[in-house]
Order: sequence, then C-alpha cells, then structure tokens
Amino acid sequence: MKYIGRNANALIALGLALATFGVLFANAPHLGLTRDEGYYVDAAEHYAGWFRELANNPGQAFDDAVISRYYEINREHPVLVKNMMALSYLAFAPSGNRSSHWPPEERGAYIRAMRLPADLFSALCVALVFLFGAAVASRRVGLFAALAFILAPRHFFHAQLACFDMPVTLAWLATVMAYRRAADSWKWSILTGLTWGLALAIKLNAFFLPVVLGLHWLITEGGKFSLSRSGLKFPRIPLAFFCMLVLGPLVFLLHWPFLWHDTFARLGWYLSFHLNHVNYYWEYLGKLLTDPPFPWAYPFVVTALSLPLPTLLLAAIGFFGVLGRRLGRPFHTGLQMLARLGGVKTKTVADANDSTGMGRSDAWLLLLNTFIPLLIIAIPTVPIFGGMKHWLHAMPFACILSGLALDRLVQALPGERLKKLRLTPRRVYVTLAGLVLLPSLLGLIHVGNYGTTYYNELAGGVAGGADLGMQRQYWSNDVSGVLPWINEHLPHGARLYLHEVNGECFRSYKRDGYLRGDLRMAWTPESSDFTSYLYHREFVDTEYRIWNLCGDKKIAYGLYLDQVPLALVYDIKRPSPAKGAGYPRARLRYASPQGR
Amino acid sequence: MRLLPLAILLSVSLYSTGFWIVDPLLQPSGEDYLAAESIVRQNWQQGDAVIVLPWWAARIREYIGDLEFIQLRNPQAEDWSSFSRLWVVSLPGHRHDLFTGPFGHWTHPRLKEIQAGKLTVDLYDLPPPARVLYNFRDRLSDARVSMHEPQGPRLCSRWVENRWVCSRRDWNYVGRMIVELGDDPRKIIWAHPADYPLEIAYPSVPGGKLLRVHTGFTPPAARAPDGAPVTLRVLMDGRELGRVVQQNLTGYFPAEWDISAAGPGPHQVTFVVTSPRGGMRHFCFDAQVRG
Repeated sequence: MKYIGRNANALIALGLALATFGVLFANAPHLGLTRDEGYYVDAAEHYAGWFRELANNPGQAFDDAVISRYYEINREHPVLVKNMMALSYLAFAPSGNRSSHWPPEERGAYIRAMRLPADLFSALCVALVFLFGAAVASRRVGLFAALAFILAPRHFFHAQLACFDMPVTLAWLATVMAYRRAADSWKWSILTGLTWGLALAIKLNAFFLPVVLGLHWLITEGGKFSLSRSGLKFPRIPLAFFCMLVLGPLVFLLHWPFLWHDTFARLGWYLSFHLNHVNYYWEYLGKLLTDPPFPWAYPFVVTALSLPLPTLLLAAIGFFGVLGRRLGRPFHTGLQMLARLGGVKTKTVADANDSTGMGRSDAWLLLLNTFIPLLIIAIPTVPIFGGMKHWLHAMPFACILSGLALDRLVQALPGERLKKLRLTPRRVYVTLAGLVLLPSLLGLIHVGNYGTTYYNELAGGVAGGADLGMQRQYWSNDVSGVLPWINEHLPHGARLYLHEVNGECFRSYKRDGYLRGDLRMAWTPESSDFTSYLYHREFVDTEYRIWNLCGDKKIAYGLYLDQVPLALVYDIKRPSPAKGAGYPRARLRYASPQGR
Repeated sequence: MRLLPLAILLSVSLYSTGFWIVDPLLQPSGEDYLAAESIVRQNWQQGDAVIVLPWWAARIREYIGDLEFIQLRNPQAEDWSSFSRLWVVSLPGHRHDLFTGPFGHWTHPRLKEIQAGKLTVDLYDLPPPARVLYNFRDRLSDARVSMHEPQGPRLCSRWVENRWVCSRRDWNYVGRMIVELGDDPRKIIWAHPADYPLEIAYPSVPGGKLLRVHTGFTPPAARAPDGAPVTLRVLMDGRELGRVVQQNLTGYFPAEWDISAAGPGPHQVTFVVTSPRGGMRHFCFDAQVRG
C-alpha cells in the first residue's frame, strides 16, 4: 500500500496510458486512411528500406546516394515519426509481397503497425497531461484534464492517425514540463533541449516553442531587468535556453539521415517549403477561404465550435480566471466596472486575488501555452487549412485550465452546506467532472471514426456544422463508411473513382482487404463506372461533373451522419432518360435503400 | 452570486448531455424517406420541381434524385418561372427556412402539407410558368460553333457526348455542363473564350416574346486577380439584340431582350463570346426563347 501511495501519480499515468493505447490500438483498423497518412505510410515503407540497408550493408547505408534513394520521398516533413513507423512496419506488418493482397488473417495488421507509434505517442500524451495537471494543481485536476483532452472527439480522432499532430503535442508538452523543472537543474535543462529537439524532429510547430518559453521568461523574470549607473542588468537566462539552442538543432540534424549530406541546401528546401506553403481552400462560416488575409477570429471560432461545450466553458472560465488573477487590479477593476454597469454585485479586488495555490510561473506557462498557438494561426497571413489540428498542442493546457476552473467552482461551494448533505469537495468534484465529461463521451460515440465532422452542442452538432457552413471533412478517411457497400455491390472489375483518395490509400485499401482486389482504380469520374464523392466545398464541381455524366442527381448509396452527407456513391453508367445516347447500359442492380 | 458559474456549468452540461441523447432520436429513418418518395412520386406532374431543406440534405436524392431536383441555398430568391409547382422536403427544424419572401406572402400558396414520419413534404403552387419555346442549352448539338482566329474562322466540328470540341486543350470546348455559379450548381453552356472570338450560331430558332440569358463566371475564374471581363453579344438574323459585359464575378446574372417584333421566325441566333485576355475565363451562359 505504501508503494501505491508513494507512486500513485505514476500508476494513474500508467493506467491512463495503457487504457488509451488499448482503445486506439483496437480501433486502428476501423478508421479510414487519411490522405496524409497515405503519403506517410508510403514514405515509411521507403525508409524501412534504409533500415534494411543499415542492417545488411552498414558500410554503404551512410552514402548520400543510398540515403537519398530512400529518404528523398516526403522530405517536406522531419522523419522521427515516419522512422518509427518504418521500424514498426518491419516488425509487425505482414511480410508478403507489397503489391499483392494479404491473406484475410493478416488484414488490418498493416495499418495497425503503421499507426502503432502514433498510438504510443497519444497514450504518453494523455499520461503527461495528467502528470502536468497533477504537478501544477492537483491529482484530480490532472485526471480531469487528461480525460477531457482525450475524450474531445477531434482530439481522439487525431490521436489515432499515423500523422504528426498528436506526437508533436506530446513533445511540446514534454518540453514545457522539462522547462518547468529546469530552473537550476542541469539534468532538466538538458532534457528540455533534447525534448525540444525531438519536437523539431516531429513537426515544424516546435519552431514556435522558444517564442512561448521566451515570453514566459520575460513575463516572470521581467521585473529583474534594471538600468542604473552600473549599466543594464538582465535576469539570469535559464540554462534550458542554452541547452535548447545546442541540443535542439543537434537532435534535429541527427535524426534525419537526408540532412547528413548537403545539409544547408536540404535544410533550406525544407524551410522554404513551409515558408511558401500553398493555401489549401477551407470552408468557414459559409465562405470558402482561399487566400490571405484570413479572419483573425478563425482559430477561436473553430475552437469554440469544436471543443465539447462544457469543457470549453470551463476552459474559458479557467483561462480568464487565471489571467485575471495574474493581471490583478486593472483586469478586475475593468471586470467590476462592467459587472456594476450590469447591476451585478461583485467581490472586492482582494477577494478576487486569492491564490489558487498555483505559482505565478505555472499560471503563465498555462496561459501562454494555451493562447500563443491559437494566436499564431490568427495571424491573417498564416495558412489555416487543417483546422484545429494546427493548435492541438494548446489543448492539454486548455484542459488543465478547465480542471482548475472546476476545482475553483467546487471550492466556492459553502462547506457547511456540503457537510449537511454529507458531501465532500472531492465527491462533488468527481460527480461534476463526470457530468462535464459525459457530453464529450457521448459526442465521441456519436461521431465514431468520422472525427472531423464533429461540432459541439453550441454549433448544433454535425448538422449544425453543416448549417453554419463549416469544413466537414478534408482527409478522405470518411470513404471507409461506403467501402463495405462498394465491395458488396460493384460488378467484377468495375472502375472505381474514390474522390480525394490518393493512389497510396487506394493501394493500401486493396492490399489490406478493405477494397475488393478486382476493382480498378479510376482517376476521374469520367473514366469510372462508379464514383464515391466526398463533400468538400472546394470540390463541389466534382459532384456537378458527376451529375452532368449521370444526367440526374440520383445517389446509389450514401454515408450520412445526422443526415449530413459525408460520402456519396454514384453509379455513373446507370441509364437515365436525361442522358444523351452513347452511354453503355448498367450491368447490375444494387439493393434499394429500403429500410436503411 | 458565487454559485452562478456553477449553475451555468450544470445547465450547460445537462443541455449538452441531452443534446447527444435526444438529437439522434429526431433523425428521420429510411421509412420516412420512402414515405416522402411515395408522396412526391404519386402526385408528380409535368412542370414540377423538388428541393430539400436544408440544401445540404442529400439523402433524399437516393430516393427522388432522378426527378427534377434543384439544389439551392436560397430558394426564396430563385426565379421559379420555369416551373408550375414546387415540392419541398424538409428535415425537422428546417421547414421554416422557406417561410419568407414569396413563399411567406402567399404569392406561392401552399397546396399540400404532409408529414412523412419526421420529414415534412410541402407542395407550393407557383405562378403560371413561362412558355419556353427554345432552350439553347438543350439544342446545343444543333449549333454551329467556331473560333474566329486571325487567319479565319475555325469550326469546332467534333461533337463528343455533350460538347463541341474546339482543340485538344481540355477547356477549349462549348458544352452542356453543370457548374457552380455563385453558390449553386447551374445547368449552363460552357463557353470559355480563347484569345479569339467564340461564335455559337443556332440556325433555326422560333420567335417569341423574350430572349432571356444568364451569365456568370465560375468561382475559380472570378478569383483570378487579373481576370478580364467577357462580352456576350447576342445577334438575331445578323442584327445585334444586345450585349452583356460580364465583369469578373461569380453568380448567375440575368438579362433579357424583347424579340416580339422579330416575328415568328425561324431566326438565326448567334452568340459571340469575346475577352481581351482569355486566361481563366471560365465563362458560362444559358439562354431561352420564351413565349
């Protein structure tokens, strides 16, 4: 018992990690492949070739020609996650011929292997959210934050993907946690540098982390700047910053074999790719955003509509509450003035400044890490495509602020009345936490594997998102919902166009048994017998081309969530009176939609 | 006062929980769609059209997508003069979207209101439809299409499926298309001008009261920062009826000319499409002679 008591936090973190990993690992084969995963799994298979080379011909594996042969592909992203996918692929994927179909008993193993590193990263991330929440506040705050984080349907969706968003969230959080402990510690400072290097090795969001930590240092230590006759005095610069400066780039360069030769040119290409990144079109409040300037409110509105409402409310209370306590009198005076104008009686400033028990440094760490990632996307020239995944690394901090806010609300309950009701604050906290998290869980169950379609209760759910004209999907994974129908109903050898599904994903679907082996890939609706169209505001003309081909607008089969169409299957060769002559007759009849 | 935030949190949590429990119960079933299909099909007449509210609710097209289904974001503002009656299938909570404009003021009275499970099927009577004597889009295969290059006119003589092909360039044709103009899909004639005038001549068009056209650019064309205007000249028996200068905007813009003085015909009607710069000029139009 003593051991459990001493290591309770570690054991809870382990439990959270194991549970998260178990759920993600079990669900991995059921989630459709996203477009980006198609590119990354393809890249990982190439990188696996280099690891084979390294094992078989270690002398040659470091030659530029050999490295380039394997690492030229998908050089626009660092390779830490893809290298792990490559190793997982070598260890766990079916070993048969890459281009053939795997036997039924091995189906799903490929995608499970490719998503395994992401599952691990996500599981660790949930554990770290708990540990960080427990460190800055309390165990119950940490537990609430971890659950609020992973149960948010958008977060859960991204947690499953063989992509970089959840891994970089983990690395960002780990760096912040190490930095927090690094004040006078060489060990934690070195760890800060290493974790930031790993973050850089995952995704470029990490380039912005020094901005956040630098701001944190300026705010918390800014008072120690002084200018006197003896000159300008600086507060002590944290050791962690030096370690980041040295170790960050070092880890980044070491992890990426492609940068071992012709380093500056290749690094320049990588940076230039992202500095000049094309703006993919994005639907937002009924408008198609195409070119900058983009609305500054975009990340805030999307967060307000895609984080479960109770969690969002608590995050807002937590954020502004902590901010108010940090800014102190001017903030509260302003608030009180507003409240009095509204006829509301308010507390005194002294009451409002009561401590939560959380240190000033921790408070700013939470505030800055919640706000800055959104602020970066709010800059009108920054590309906005991809939605909330680009500020996913802010969400652990937002969820901790939610847990803190809940804690404060429970503390505000009159103790005597609780005693009369035989309630303890802990019991009330647990009950309220359950009530707050229940909508997240219900929303998650409701949208299932179609996570990008989730909009919260404020938006009106999935249908509300469609009414508001918000981006519904963008990664083609929702096509998985119509593949069983396609397998069951398409004639042998039919040409199939899966809108937005790239060649890599099509190949994977066939190889892993999600698509029948005899179906042939078509590249356009015009060259197909059947087309599955995914609604995407940018590509509505694709559906209109299909109508033009079909002669009418009849859908053969569809995937709908709350009546909102996600994937629609059209029988292009179906006879229609509106068609001109020259179309071949359809060769099959599929079941009527009756009873579905 | 200090319990107010807690009360708000409790209310929001209960509402949110209720939302995910109740919302699925409000969704129409397959049987509801079948019932709606049956109502529409049994009462369908020539000149009817059908829309769905909200506009994105595509599932009904599994059942009646072969009928004259119109997808519109704003049906109140639409010109319904080609149709005699309008069927409206509504999802729960969306039916009232239509109760403004002519549908709210009894200009278009409601003839039927039938519940099909959780779907509602309404039938509206529209003012007597215009008599369309000639639809230029439908009769495109009768047209003679040519490009007026400096060295002389070049005939686009190859008809493939739904278009006159003018060259190997994949945009260089005059064809029956459905494209997005403004926010909605429109049945139009694609007439992307190159650097030379594009001429579409119909040899035998009956006379009538009005010649009506709609013009517009597709959204990608309208986004082109240096997109030049396109001029559509309309000639009847060699005499210019009028012209539309389409500025670089997406939309579905109407224009019409009185042709009653021209007599019963047949007439030769020619559309000439020109632009000072042909790049990204995804120009589209449709035209009708109305009686």
